[in-house]
Amino acid sequence: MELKFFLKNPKATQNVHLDLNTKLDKSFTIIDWKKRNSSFMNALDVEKNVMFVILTLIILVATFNIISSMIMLVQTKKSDIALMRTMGASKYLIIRIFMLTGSIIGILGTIVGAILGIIVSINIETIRHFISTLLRKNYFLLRFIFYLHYLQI
Amino acid sequence: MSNLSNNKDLLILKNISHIYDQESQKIKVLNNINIKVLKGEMISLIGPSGTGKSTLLNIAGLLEKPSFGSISLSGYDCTKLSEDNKTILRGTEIGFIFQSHRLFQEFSAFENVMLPQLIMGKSKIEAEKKSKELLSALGLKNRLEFRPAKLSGGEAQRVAIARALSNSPNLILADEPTGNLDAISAKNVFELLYKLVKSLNISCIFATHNRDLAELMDRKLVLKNGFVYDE
Ligand SMILES: Nc1ncnc2c1ncn2[C@@H]1O[C@H](COP(=O)(O)OP(=O)(O)OP(=O)(O)O)[C@@H](O)[C@H]1O
Ligand SMILES: [Mg+2]
Repeated sequence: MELKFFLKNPKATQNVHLDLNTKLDKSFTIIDWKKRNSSFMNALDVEKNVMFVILTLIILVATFNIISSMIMLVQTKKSDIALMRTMGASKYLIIRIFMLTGSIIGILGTIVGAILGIIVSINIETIRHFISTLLRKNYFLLRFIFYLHYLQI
Repeated sequence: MSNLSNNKDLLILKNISHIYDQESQKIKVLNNINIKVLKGEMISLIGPSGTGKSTLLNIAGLLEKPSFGSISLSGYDCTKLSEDNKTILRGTEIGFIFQSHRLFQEFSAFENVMLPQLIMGKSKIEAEKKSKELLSALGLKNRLEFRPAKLSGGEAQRVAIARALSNSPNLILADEPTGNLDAISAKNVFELLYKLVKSLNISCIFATHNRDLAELMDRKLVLKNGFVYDE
């Protein structure tokens, strides 16, 4: 026999679980919706963690890119820096110039990136559709290269 | 800041020795050098390549700290100054000219002359006025907006002179400024600089390999084996 309870607050499963456990006979097995769909919940959890790692790596790579290009810039401008020192430019002025350059690159990058990101997410359905038609067109090729017909999902 | 000198001495180098520490050996480039530069004096600095002319100018320009000895410039004892004060003194008291003009390619002649003034905190209007005056005085009135790449070697070097003079310094340090020029442009640039030094009553040390030019200056210093001789 199976009894189903629908809760007004789906998040309150733990309390209800406890309640039922104390009030009902031991012969009942109590399973909440989270436990029943545990493989799905697990998949969601894994996806969340993997996305976090991937995004962290992307940000890390982008940061190193900016840092290395700033170092390259300072290297190529070494003689200009020396020249400005002869004109009475203080160390702080030189530092300020490069800080400003770095900030401008960073801020511009953030703005352009945010705008592009918003455009992509607004049109995500069109893009998905476009890609899938592309893939369908090349379906046989894909099958050949990636052995997609082996993978059964 | 103590005043070490009387009013006539602009620059005093006292017992200057300089040693470069290379990995294995120590190179003594300058050996107990004493030089006094008077106001309004144009001095040539000659000597074989690698004897330390550039090193001496870098030390006089407070760009490099000598291993031993003291420097006094415009009455300031530079050995006792902080790095920041030396930077200010460099901006206000000294103008540098190099073998290659070393103008910023990204800027016009006019902007190149403005730059040191803006660095030293002059207003834009003031800097523009002074730049125009200087470039006109050096015969570059219709080259104001030219990029350095479009100037001849002699013209570019004249812009570099204007830049060196833009903060009204008392001392010009010129490191082979005519080294890249043909004989006629070299003579022209030298004569221009000489006239400016005399009319502004400032001083100049002019390192050169050109003995003919050296003969035309007020005094000749010869650097050899780390020692300096008055000739
Ligand atoms: N940063 C440095 N480290 C080590 N040695 C140096 C350094 N700068 C210069 N020297 C050495 O000091 C000596 C003098 O160099 P300097 O450039 O002052 O000569 P110079 O008289 O200006 O020569 P030139 O006429 O060719 O310009 C040279 O032997 C050079 O190798
Ligand atoms: Mg030299």
